[in-house]
Formats: sequence, structure tokens, C-alpha cells
Amino acid sequence: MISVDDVSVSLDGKKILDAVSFRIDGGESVALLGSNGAGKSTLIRSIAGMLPLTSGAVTIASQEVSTQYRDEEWRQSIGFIPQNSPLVETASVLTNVVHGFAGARGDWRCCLQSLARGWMRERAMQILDSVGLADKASKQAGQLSGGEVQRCSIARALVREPKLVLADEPTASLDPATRQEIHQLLRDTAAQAGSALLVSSHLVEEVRDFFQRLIALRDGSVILDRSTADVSPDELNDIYKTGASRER
Amino acid sequence: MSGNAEQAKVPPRMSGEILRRLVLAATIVLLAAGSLSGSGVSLQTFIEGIPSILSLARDMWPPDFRRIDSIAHAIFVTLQIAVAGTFLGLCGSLLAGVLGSRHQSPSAWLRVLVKVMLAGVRTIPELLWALLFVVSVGPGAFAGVLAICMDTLGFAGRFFAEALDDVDSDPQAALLVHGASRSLVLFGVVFPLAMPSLLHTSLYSLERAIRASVVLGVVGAGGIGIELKVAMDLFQYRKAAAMVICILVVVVAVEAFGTWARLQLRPK
Repeated sequence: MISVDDVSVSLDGKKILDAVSFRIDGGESVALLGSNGAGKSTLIRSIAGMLPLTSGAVTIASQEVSTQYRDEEWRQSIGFIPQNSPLVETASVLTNVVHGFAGARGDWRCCLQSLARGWMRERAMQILDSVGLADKASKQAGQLSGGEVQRCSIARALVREPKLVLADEPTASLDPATRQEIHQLLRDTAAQAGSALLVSSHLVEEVRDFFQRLIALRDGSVILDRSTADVSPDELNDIYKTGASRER
Repeated sequence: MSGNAEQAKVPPRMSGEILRRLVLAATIVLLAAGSLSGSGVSLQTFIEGIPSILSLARDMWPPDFRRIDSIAHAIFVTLQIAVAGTFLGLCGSLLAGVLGSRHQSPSAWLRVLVKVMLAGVRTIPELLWALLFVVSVGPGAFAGVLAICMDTLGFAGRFFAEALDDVDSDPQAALLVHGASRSLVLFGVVFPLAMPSLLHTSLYSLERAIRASVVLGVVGAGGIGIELKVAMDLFQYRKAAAMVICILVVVVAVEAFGTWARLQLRPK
């Protein structure tokens, strides 16, 4: 289980996140919504330990991020999918997935799939099979399509069955059909691994069909945190209204 | 429409920006003119020298290939100097590139120190390096190898550091979040992504080294250069012409190899 308690983050003196709190259970899939500048990426990066918290705490399976940031075991409990070009394009698809074992003892062997341990290569092939890329394992990552790149990133993030998977707008540059495919794949693969899943997006209509729960941010604060089935279309539209349009 | 024309102001013919550009262009022209005058450039002297050039060309014809075996050996040594010097220089450049890279260097002080050192190495031309090494290790191919090594280090070290800095940070961040060691990030992400740029620089370094190694022999650093100098000093112009033709063939062959290798590096 992941617990975000009263988290505030300030960057260059500007408050980006203001007392954000929520919990996500293992196997639960949550979409993080909000307009540009609402604080989605900052929240995802703060949970991942990439940005320091100004106050509050993030706890994953009873280990606190702020104190366990450098702890190897804690780091291995997170799978992260960044927004842009997250793969090593000049390396093979299998090598990119083997990179997901980063942080393991002697991880320098993961720099190339041919140097990696046998069980790592087998596990990487298993997860590539589950995302439908097993036949492209030897292909260069730079030759993959946009959708395939994200499928490969999902495989890399989940290869070690982390307790929490964080995805920062993983479908931002994809066409609508591929976006749906990737959201579905993320949800199903994370559920199979028993991982909690937090995906940021600004595509309300698309994510509501795939995620169990929606959390919405506005100006760095949580304005909605509810089961997807309980959120009305009006409430969804309200997430993206600006201050001026809300007053009208 | 006429109303709009009345409202819109016609920009002035001479603005501050145009004036700055004119001053810059005038400065460049003055500098070039001063340099041409100061270095004794004269069209008349050049025209007067044409008969001497033609006379030398006549003396060089036909090229004397009777001692092709010794020319071939000297060229082979020249190639070895270039390849060995480039290899050592590139190894040093890789280390200097990592230590001098903004994102990969373990310390800011070390980065500045490496950058200053590379800049210092670059300011000394390869001929001066050759003179220094001829004095320190004695005349011969080894002095040439060291001179090429230093020249390559100054040139490639800077470009390697810049290539490593240009690598996209997202794939590195994705692995660092997973707890990756610096060695995995360097060998698994940074080097593979920078590889096309590193190989381009390496190929260009080799081409430069081949051209430079021909000249180094003139100051006693081994290779074909010393043979060429001796032939010219002894007025054996036909033999010198044979050497120049052989050098030309080797340089063109190496550049053709470089072009072919770059084509192979292009993403398919």
C-alpha cells in the first residue's frame, strides 16, 4: 500500500503541491487528473523520490520516501514510466527491459542483455510476451512505433513486479486507439503483478473507462478523490474549468 | 485599408540592430584587410612565382616509383603512428569526456580542471607537440604517436564531453528512479545513446591524424614526412612526387573509408 500524507512541495519558492493526501492499495489502479500546471508531474516525481518534499511524507509498504530515498530495497519497490522517449533507442528491446533490474546487486551486468543473469533474461522475455513484444526482443528500440515504445516502457517498469507503478502521462503523444490500448495494458499488467498503479493524464473521457479511481488536482490541491463509478460527467468537466469559468 | 496604413508606422531604415550588424561586418572586413596587408600577400608576387611552380612541376615529372618498397614502408609506419596515436588519444578522451561532462562528472571542480586541461592541450598544435616529444623521447615514430595522442585528446575530449551532455535525461531518470548504479547509467544508457556521436568524432579524429602524421616526420617524429623532407632537400623531386602521390592515395582512401563508415552508422 502507498500512503501520501499531507505532502507539500515548493520549487523556486513557489508552492506546487499543497497538503496532498491519499492512499492506494496494492492492485488498485488510479488516474491522476488535472489541467497543465495542476501539479500532476510534480506529485509523480515527488513520490518517485526525484524531488524533495517540503513537508509531509510518502510511505510505500511502511517505508518512508524521505528517509529511505537511497535505500536499495525501497527503490526497487517502484516502477517508473516517464513521459518522453524513455528508452535507449540504440539498444535492443530486451536490453531495455533488462534495464528494469537496475538497483539489483551487481546491476552493471544489466547494461546489456547478453551480460545479464539467466533468470533476468527469462523474466524479461516473460513480461515482453505479456505486452505482446516477445517477437521484437532483438529489434533496436529506435525502430519501434510510439505505442510499442510505451509497451516496452511498461514491461521495463513492471519486470521486477514493483509494489507501485508510477506513469507520468504515458500516452501523451499517442493516437486515440493506441492510448486506449496502453491504458488497458497498464491496468491489466499492474493488476496481474499486484502493483498499485498511479497514472497521470489530462484525458478524462479516456481514463474513466480503465481506472478504478480518479484523483483530481487543481493548483496543487486535491479537489476530487473518488471511485470512477461515483464521479458524474459534470464533476469531470469541472476539473478542467479555470477560475474565471468557474465563477461564471 | 487606407485607415490601417495611416495607423501603422513604417519602420525606420536604420535601426540599432542593423547598425550593429553593419559595424560587425565592417570590423570583419577591416581585420581581414589588415591581415592580408600585414602578411605580405601580393598578387604580383604570386603571378611572378607561377613560372617557378611550373618549373618544379616539370622537375617532378615523371614520378620516380623505383623505390616504391621504401615509400610503402614509410607510409605504413605513418599509418601506424596515426592509428596508435588516435587509439591512445580516444581512450584518454573517453575518460576526459566523462570527467568533463556536466552531467556525468563526479565533481564540479574535477570537471572544471579537466575542461581547463583540455583547452590547454588544444592550444598547442600537433607540430609543437611533436617537437616537444622529439626532444623528450628522441626522434622516431614514438614521438609521433605521442604528438597525435595529445592532439586527439584535446580535440575529441571536448566533443566527447559535449556528446555525453547532449544525451536525453529521461532514460537516465527512469533508471535512477529504479535505483540504478552510476556504472549502469553510464554503460547502459549514456554511452549507447551517445555512441553515434562518439563514433563520428572518432572517425574524424582518425582522418585528422592521418593528415597530421604526414607532416610530423618533417620535425623528426617518424613516418613518410622525414623521407619527403630529405628528398626535397636533395632535389630528388621525382622521388618526392612519387611520395606525394602515395600520400594522396592513402589520405583519399582513409577519407573514403570514413564516409562509408558514417553511412553505416546512419539509422536504417
